[in-house]
Amino acid sequence: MLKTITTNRNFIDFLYRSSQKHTLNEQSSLILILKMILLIMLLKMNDNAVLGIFMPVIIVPALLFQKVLLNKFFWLIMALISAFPYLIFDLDGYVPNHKHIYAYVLVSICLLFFFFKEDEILSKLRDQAKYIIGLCFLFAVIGKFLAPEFLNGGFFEFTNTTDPRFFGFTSYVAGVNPTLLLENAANIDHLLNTNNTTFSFKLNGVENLKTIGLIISYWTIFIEGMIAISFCLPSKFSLSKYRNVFLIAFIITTYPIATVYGFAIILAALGYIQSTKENQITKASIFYMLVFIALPLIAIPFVRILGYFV
Amino acid sequence: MKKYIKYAIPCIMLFFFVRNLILVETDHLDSWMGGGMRMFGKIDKMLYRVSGINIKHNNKVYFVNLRDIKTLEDIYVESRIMPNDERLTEFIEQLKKFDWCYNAEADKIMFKEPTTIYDNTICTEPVNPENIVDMEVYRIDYNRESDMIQLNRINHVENNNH
Repeated sequence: MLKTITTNRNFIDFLYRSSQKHTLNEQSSLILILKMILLIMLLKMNDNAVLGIFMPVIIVPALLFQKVLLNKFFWLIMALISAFPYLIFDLDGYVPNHKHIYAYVLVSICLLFFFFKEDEILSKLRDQAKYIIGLCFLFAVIGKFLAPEFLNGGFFEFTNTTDPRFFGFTSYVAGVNPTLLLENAANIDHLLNTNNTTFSFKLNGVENLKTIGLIISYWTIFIEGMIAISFCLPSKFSLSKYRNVFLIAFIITTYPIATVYGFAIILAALGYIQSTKENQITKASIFYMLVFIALPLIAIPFVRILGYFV
Repeated sequence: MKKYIKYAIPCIMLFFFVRNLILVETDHLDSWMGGGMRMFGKIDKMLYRVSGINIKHNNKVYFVNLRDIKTLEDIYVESRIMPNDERLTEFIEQLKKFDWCYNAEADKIMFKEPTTIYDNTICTEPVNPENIVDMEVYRIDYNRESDMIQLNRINHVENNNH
């Protein structure tokens, strides 16, 4: 384990030293960041048939031609296209929170293109990325304090034993028989399909999760709270210097288990944007970039594979 | 103007968060929805909500779950995101415009697809849409003391003409 961590650190150090030889200028950095954002939209902005067909037609020219990419009217179109389904009609269809973040990022880039010169945009975008990350986690923490089932551990007892994404983790950490967890998922499905609204069933495997549920709840509140504080505080406060440590800890401990690709990829992109410093790539920005590139690998069922070897 | 631009996105985010807090309390909005960033907090979310109507037929009331009725997908989704009185009232009126029928073998009320070509609904008797009693939305509840899972009603609206 220690050897793996040391090897990973050496790898990041190697990338960091390499990147120092090739520092990007402000425009190259801005172009890279805008392309990262557009790649996310190309991959994830396909909620309905209209977006699925038209988004590639709008986005691909900007990925290929710099003049389109740096044109403020292109970003106005992107902002409007995202604002309608994700901000204006967001209560009429299934719009998860990360789609709101996509719209915030696109509207933010549009505003910066209209109100600032090209060489000012990147530094302003870094601030916007900090605000978006900080407020997102601040609201998430407040939301958890407003949910009694989160504070008493009930939320994770329920989620870890009914949501198939967590079954590998639950069976490995709490030693719950996977067959019992699959039975829970089948019962939930039956409940959602039922015409008998008095149907009820006993949840399997929760007795093993009472303590773990509480630990996960309070770890989540701690790490999300620290991200919220460190990102919302101005840079003059010493806690703000650790913002990347907290965000990286959150990404490492969350996304291998809770595989929410759409949220993870925008978080990695925003993390990258705010972590670059005046033409310099930092160690944190290399981490975010690696996450951005390697994120599709979270679909691999790591815990189940580990189970074959242990 | 330029120096205030940086506050635009934080203000928009704050607006959606406050709107979420209010609508969750007043209009039964799913707390995970509406840009409130309150994901992974409450068990109650639209994916764990059940939406349906009660229809009276031959002096018996049948609950019809709207899940898996492709034609009614928009009503099913919207009624679970925010099942307030206004929405449910409007949806009852829309549901009254469709055909419903009784399947004696299964002893249940079924939705009759508007197109006949793909319709394989086995019906023995048509059901008058005016017999819709009410529309209900339920959420899944987990009782930590007994480890039991059951449905609890969030909201219902009665058909005024029934």
